[in-house]
Amino acid sequence: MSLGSLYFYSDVLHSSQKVNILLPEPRTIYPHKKEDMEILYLLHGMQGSAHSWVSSSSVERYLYESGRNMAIIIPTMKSNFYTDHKIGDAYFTYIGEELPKIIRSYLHVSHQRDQTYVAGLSMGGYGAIKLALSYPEQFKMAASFSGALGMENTMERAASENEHYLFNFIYGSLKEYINSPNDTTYLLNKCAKNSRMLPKLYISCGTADNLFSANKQFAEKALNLGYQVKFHVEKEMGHAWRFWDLEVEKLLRTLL
Amino acid sequence: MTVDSSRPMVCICPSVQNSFYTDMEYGWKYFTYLTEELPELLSRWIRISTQPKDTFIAGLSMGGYGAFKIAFSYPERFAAAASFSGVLDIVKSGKDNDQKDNAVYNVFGMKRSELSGTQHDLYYLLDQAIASGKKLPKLYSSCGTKDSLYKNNLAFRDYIRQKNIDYTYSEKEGLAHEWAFWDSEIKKLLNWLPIQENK
Repeated sequence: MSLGSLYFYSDVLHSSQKVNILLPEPRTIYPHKKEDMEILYLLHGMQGSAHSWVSSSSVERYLYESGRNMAIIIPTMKSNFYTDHKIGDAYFTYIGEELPKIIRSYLHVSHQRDQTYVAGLSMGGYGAIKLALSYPEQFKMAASFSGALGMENTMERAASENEHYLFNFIYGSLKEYINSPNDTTYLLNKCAKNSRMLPKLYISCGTADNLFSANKQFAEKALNLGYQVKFHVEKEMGHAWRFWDLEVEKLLRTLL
Repeated sequence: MTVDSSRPMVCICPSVQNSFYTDMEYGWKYFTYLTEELPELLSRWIRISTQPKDTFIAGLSMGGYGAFKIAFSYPERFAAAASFSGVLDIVKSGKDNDQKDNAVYNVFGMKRSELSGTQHDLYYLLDQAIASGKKLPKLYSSCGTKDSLYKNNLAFRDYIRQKNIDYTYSEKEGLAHEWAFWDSEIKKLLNWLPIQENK
């Protein structure tokens, strides 16, 4: 189980950033000839960091057990929603454009779509879907675990409870969110219309999770638009690390 | 790291505990780890050149011994090797070289005085490297004048100077076996390394 931490300066975010990187073990790769590693971007949820996936799940062990020649890139996003803030920094450009360039310059990772994936939990599920639909020619598959795929509902509720401050500076108003490049439903439609290649979508959610119906609706929309979708329902599971740990294990062993 | 570097460089800093960068007699195979396993692993993960002209090794104290040990054992792999305050004469490096001393015995399975002429003796390894006819890396060694290893370093300097080798020696008045010395040496090193322009 190999783990590295890369600290570097991001020009896009004009600040020091960190990503954790999981790498294949010597004993996984030595029997085979040298070849570029597959690459999975693994995104955390609100308030998290590059530490979240590593400390709260066994993803490091799951990578090793899967026997894959793969690098897993785990960025820190805090609560920045993988979005170019309306007032603030360009977190989507960072994650979609700058970070892949940096990773490719340092590591022997594949540039091929067939070997490039993105996955995430909650806010990170939203981020994963957003990335893959914005760059469909770059990602073979996106996986969303308990993804924040009904952001318009979340924003509406927050506004009604007078707690919209978070979304104000990230997205602006609900009106500004809808049909913008931040709107995952908009992206779903746009990508289906314009792209030759559609990323495969894996969407999973527990039935005890408040986001369940938004996830179900999103999966159904995607299916109707012609995407290859696997929608997984976990009975009696909530918005919890127990679920995300199970999901990432399944992802590495069977889904990619 | 200097921002004036003409090419980007990756610097690898391994952990080897007190193994003297050696396949220990009563312990683990640190020399094999460093010369076979680690370079292979790194070349698979990281976009580093595997060409000798782009490969350098340097170390302080036990690491100075290690850097030279590896560079003399595989001269064809390195363009340059450097030692700062290195334990360059392992045979005469102790307080009592004829006594069995655990720190060294666990590593070599021998007393220091018994290491003369073996693959653990840098004098022997240097002669072997020269005799092999292979192109030798540029060599650099330095020491503070207040370091207890100062005479040890001067002796090795004099030995290298007898051979026809590209070699630079440096010393710093008043500095001992300390980080102030190594911090200034690593800065000098990055300017001394024969880093080649990207063609």
